[in-house]
Amino acid sequence: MIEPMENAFLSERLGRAIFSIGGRPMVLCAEDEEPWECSAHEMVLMRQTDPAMRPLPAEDCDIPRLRARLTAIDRRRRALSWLISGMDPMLTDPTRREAIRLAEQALSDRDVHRHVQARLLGRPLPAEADLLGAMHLTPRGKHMAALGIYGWLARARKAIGQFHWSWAEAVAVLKLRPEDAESVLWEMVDKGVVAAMIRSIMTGDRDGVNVAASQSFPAFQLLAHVANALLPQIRDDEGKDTSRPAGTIKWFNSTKGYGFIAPEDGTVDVFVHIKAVECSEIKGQERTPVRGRGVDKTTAASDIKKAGRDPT
Amino acid sequence: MDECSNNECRAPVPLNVRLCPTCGHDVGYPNVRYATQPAERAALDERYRAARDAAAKRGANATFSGFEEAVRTRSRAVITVGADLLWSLFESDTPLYANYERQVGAALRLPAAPEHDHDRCIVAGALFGSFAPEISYAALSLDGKGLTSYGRRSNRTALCTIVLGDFAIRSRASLLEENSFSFVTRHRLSVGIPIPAGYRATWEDRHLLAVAKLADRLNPGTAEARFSGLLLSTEGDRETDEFVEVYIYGPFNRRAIDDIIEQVPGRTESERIDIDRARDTLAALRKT
Repeated sequence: MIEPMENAFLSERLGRAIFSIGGRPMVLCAEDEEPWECSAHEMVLMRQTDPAMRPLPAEDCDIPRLRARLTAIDRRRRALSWLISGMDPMLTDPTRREAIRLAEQALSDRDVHRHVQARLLGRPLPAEADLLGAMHLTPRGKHMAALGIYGWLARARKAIGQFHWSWAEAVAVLKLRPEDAESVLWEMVDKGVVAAMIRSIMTGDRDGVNVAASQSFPAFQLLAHVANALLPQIRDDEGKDTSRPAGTIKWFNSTKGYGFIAPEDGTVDVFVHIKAVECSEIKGQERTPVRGRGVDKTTAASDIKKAGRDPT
Repeated sequence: MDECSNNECRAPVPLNVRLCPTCGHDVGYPNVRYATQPAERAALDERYRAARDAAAKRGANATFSGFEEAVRTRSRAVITVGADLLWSLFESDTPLYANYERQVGAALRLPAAPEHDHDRCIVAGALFGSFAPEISYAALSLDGKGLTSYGRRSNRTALCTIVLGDFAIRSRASLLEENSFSFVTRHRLSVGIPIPAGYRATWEDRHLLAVAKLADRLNPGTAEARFSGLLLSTEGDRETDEFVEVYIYGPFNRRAIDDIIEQVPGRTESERIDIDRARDTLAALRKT
């Protein structure tokens, strides 16, 4: 009879699982055929090396499932490494092209894609990263996930920088130990919280920043500080964004469900659909926009952006 | 016991420490200082002279000189590694090549099987004592090829040799004339038994050690092409490997690496790209 696995922990960072079978401490890596026996001391060391190591639920405690999870971790790690190599100006173009090709294959797995994108958006890129070169070298085909990620990164550079400045500030204000903050940051990166906040910064979506911050247990307090620091920057950006003007509701047909807003800057009227209005902060105040009612940037920005300009 | 090289201090400094316990002055790498002790040098010189005289008697003077010159000018310290470790070393300047003890201590790898792990600790302790965790092991090679019995998880994976730059190890490398395990076993080193003199050398004297060891295999007809195989021979079995071992004090990063030799080519796309990336990075580092 095979003895059951107990006290299983999985470390994404180390790419290995530790557990005990019949009281004997064991280790399993993705590349191992069979688990290895280790000492209790080594098990403690591994736990110390990766404080983010988490206990596994009982249903995942068997060797085939564990190996599958470790293989998935290894695939994600490789895909990330290949995608980073695509941006590495120290490598020759053929090597970069091949690395991107391999990354592209790996990115067809949705889990790999999500993880890689979260990781890359979640950390500042080195100054020497050659994004334009990577986009140029990406093979064109049906599935251009790598190109999409490089494109996101190119657009997100400023937002990533803003996030990390605010994060460092929040860590200092809350007097956290840097190693604790680093561990929390990695957790938030892997959960996709940081990527979600960065996307919100890029689109000027203040709600998105708040929502991402509020979903980030156990780092809520930290991310609330970050969100508070980021929101004024987003407003500043909005002020410069001519595609998101303030204006007055010129007319609105509630039967047909659309209308127009006259922008403050005197430019051409902006078409607005009822669905966009329902999504906005007007919802809950008045169900139907009223003619002549002023709509400021914070009220109407998302409506106007979604609705687009009047084609006439 | 050495004397501190700080003129204002001159306190006695044990051979097995690097910093003077009195003034903190760096007195040099302990492994190198062991090899430069007068008794050690005298014994090595004696073995060298005996080897040279024996070669002369066999009429192998020219071969002896040719081999000595080849080792003096062309031999390099090499370490064999798998493709994944190779790339992880080249990813940036931050990763360091970590020896067995450091990897185990940091829980980055498991110790070898218990019987091998005990043997390793005994051998390292016999040769280096408390500074054993500082020592990385390499082999001396004339053609850049290393020991195929080390460095990979299975015989299905790629194997590369990293060739270390002289500049990176000259001051901190010492040599032993054979695999440390077989040396400790052959000389029955144990409690109370000192390391016999004449089998260790500094990097600058590596040719003396190599000819002292191998002169009896040098004949008038030994072709220069055979020198590499004489200095290092490997068929993938640690028991039968023959080589001169190099000990490097302290870790090193990618900038210490001078060349990469693909000894067993990558079979998977993943391995091939790991090797290509490391080679490209090395080429780029050479230009800077």
